[in-house]
Amino acid sequence: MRWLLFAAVALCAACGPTYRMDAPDGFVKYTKGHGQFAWTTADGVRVKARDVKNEPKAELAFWTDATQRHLTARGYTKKSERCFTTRAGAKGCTLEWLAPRGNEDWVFAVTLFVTGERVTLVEAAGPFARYVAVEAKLAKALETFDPGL
Amino acid sequence: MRALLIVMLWLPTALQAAEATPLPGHPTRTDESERGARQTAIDASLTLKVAHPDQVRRLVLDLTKAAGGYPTLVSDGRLDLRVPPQQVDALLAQVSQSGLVLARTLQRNDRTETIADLQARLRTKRDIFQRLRAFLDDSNVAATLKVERSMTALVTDLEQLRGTLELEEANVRNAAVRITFQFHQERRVDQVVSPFAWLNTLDLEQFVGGF
Repeated sequence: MRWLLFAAVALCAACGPTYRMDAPDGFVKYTKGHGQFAWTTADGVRVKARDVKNEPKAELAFWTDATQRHLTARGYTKKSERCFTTRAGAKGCTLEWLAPRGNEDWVFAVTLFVTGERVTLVEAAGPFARYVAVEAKLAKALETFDPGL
Repeated sequence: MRALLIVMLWLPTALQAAEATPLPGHPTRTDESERGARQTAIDASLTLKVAHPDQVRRLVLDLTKAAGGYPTLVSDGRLDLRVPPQQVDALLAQVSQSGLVLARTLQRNDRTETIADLQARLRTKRDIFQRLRAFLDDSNVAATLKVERSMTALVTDLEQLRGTLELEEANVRNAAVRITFQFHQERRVDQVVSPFAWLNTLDLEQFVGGF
């Protein structure tokens, strides 16, 4: 029985964090082969979350600044920045960027949450016009985001 | 014969002089440039990201018309406009409110010297043309043919000068404004390596490709 409990705990740890977020209007959950948190619209605006190590350990402001400097250096053009607090009290910052992709200009958005040893990234991207059409809905949904355990 | 000799001796010198100095009695370039306002050609461009290019294109065309300007090129991603110089700032400010401004340039080129120079050269060549005409009255056949050849060459020069002058004046009368709704081709994302490993995984292509 102990072994069974241990196996269950080990299996759960391997699952990684359980992200939660209210479904943004117009998005559907896309799970196949994308872990547990990926969303897409019918016309291809996509959202996905992942964790990285908070290493070196730093606060949200540090990583927001570092992300901004890095993406600017890589030639992305900043569209906007918005910091907010989720319903559950987590602090997050969304940085939106523009970059050419093929014949189109795309928006690439990165939302950061820092929780202890982890930095949770919620990335979103889509062709400019299509992204702009859903960005308010996405921003509203992000306020319900829970980085999980 | 005498007329032919005069034409042959006088014409090359006169044409050379016309290139360099206006005839006596005509104002010099400096005189013209110092008189009155400077003549400035404005070249402006605006790269704007908008959610609905069709609507903004219509708005820009309406604003251009209201400002007394006109379009010279209208395409999906670009508008080339001609606008009275005094309206450029207001137009760009209004259009900028329609989207996210990615780039904005405004260049002012002083064309006063160039225009004064072209005007002076044009006047001098016209004077030479009139003088050559006078030679035709008392010339023999050979001299007449020679004069006519010179006049033909002069007409070509006059037309070229007039065309260049008209173009310069048109550029001063109306500013060139280019509005694009796309990034310029040269704006590419370069590879830059961050000391923070995970930042190097932030990439649009990687994100889209891995979805």
